[in-house]
Amino acid sequence: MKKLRTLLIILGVLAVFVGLWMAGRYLLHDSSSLVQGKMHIPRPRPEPIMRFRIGSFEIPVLNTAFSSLVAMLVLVLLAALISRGLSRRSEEERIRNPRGWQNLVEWAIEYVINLLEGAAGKGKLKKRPLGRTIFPLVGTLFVFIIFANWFSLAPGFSTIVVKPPAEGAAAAPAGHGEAVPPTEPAGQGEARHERFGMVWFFGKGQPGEAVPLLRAPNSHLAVTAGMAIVAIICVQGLAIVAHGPVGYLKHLATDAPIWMRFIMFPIHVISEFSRIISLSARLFGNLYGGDVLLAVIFNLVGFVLPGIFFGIEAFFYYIQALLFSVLTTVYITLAVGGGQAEEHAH
Amino acid sequence: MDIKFAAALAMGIGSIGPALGIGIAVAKAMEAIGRNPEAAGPIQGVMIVGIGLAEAVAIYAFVIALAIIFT
Repeated sequence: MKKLRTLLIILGVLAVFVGLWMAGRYLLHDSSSLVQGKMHIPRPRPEPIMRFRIGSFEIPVLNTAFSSLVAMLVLVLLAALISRGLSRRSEEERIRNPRGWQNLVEWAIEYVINLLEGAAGKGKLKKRPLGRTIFPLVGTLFVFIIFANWFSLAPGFSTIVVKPPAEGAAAAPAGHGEAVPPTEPAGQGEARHERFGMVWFFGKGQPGEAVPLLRAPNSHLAVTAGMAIVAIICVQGLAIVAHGPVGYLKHLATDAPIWMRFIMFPIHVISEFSRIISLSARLFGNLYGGDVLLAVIFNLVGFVLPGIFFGIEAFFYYIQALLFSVLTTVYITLAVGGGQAEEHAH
Repeated sequence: MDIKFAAALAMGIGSIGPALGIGIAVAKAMEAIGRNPEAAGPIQGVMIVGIGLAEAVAIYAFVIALAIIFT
């Protein structure tokens, strides 16, 4: 009986999501029929949704940046709400009788810790287990990536569209009178809106001009490259902490004969930094490819089929988050542990 | 049109290698799990990392195809 109720609740939530999404697609995209959608196929470069003007600089706000801000805000709010609910109970009671959201958070944290400790193996940094030491960094990366990825499957992503102001027609707040007159195409009624930043499009948007307000944060190469650069810098930093600067250079030059080391050293330096490219390109390629795949499927058949692909993409997005964090852990373990194996050998 | 064909070719040829690599990796992992079912957990973890490394090559092909289409 209880199982049936749970099933019904899950089905109901799914139905509401799918219904909302279908309704959104139907209303926002001027589709000629319910079955066939007309979805904007994303380009690799994210679209600006707003333009701020400071002095002579124009700062475009990209939709990926906006949606990653939204994702971060949701994460922080969730964490704050849950921890506030926790601190209302005494610690003893919390440990003996966990309930509600505490279970979910503990399960998630435990999962990530087990993942990292499994990947780090018996690696140690300054006699502390490596998995625990790097948990704040890699766990944060994992949580952000997986949340941003799954969040981008929520209804509203790439279906709510806005019409951004044209280039040069920067969004000037209504109070500032120094707005540069927008390049007004004569005879277009929208030009007066463009002075105030952005125009929301409900109804008949033209897919060529309107851009999605929210877009998967990791489908922007800059976002993934930023995370990969942070990860690789931390790998190098931890290697220096573990071996000392001289030991780190020796580690890069390997144990080869002296003339070989001159060849090995640049190769190792390049291979360390090519990991930035491989980490970031993998995540970006999967997320962007997933976006394109969903849009294409939606343009083919707009009804049940995309749901199946949503499931597939959810699995792939999880794998990608797993890979990013596990690979970072493996790199750190290799960089930190290599020297200690040598120490044992000496 | 011909430029799009080049992108399709890059993606198609570039994904042969990763496909074979992933296939071999999964086949060997399954073999290993079949021999020693208790080690399924660690084998799966290592397998996923290996698959990710092999898959990166296909992703490079994908990025190249994008660069061909959109530049």
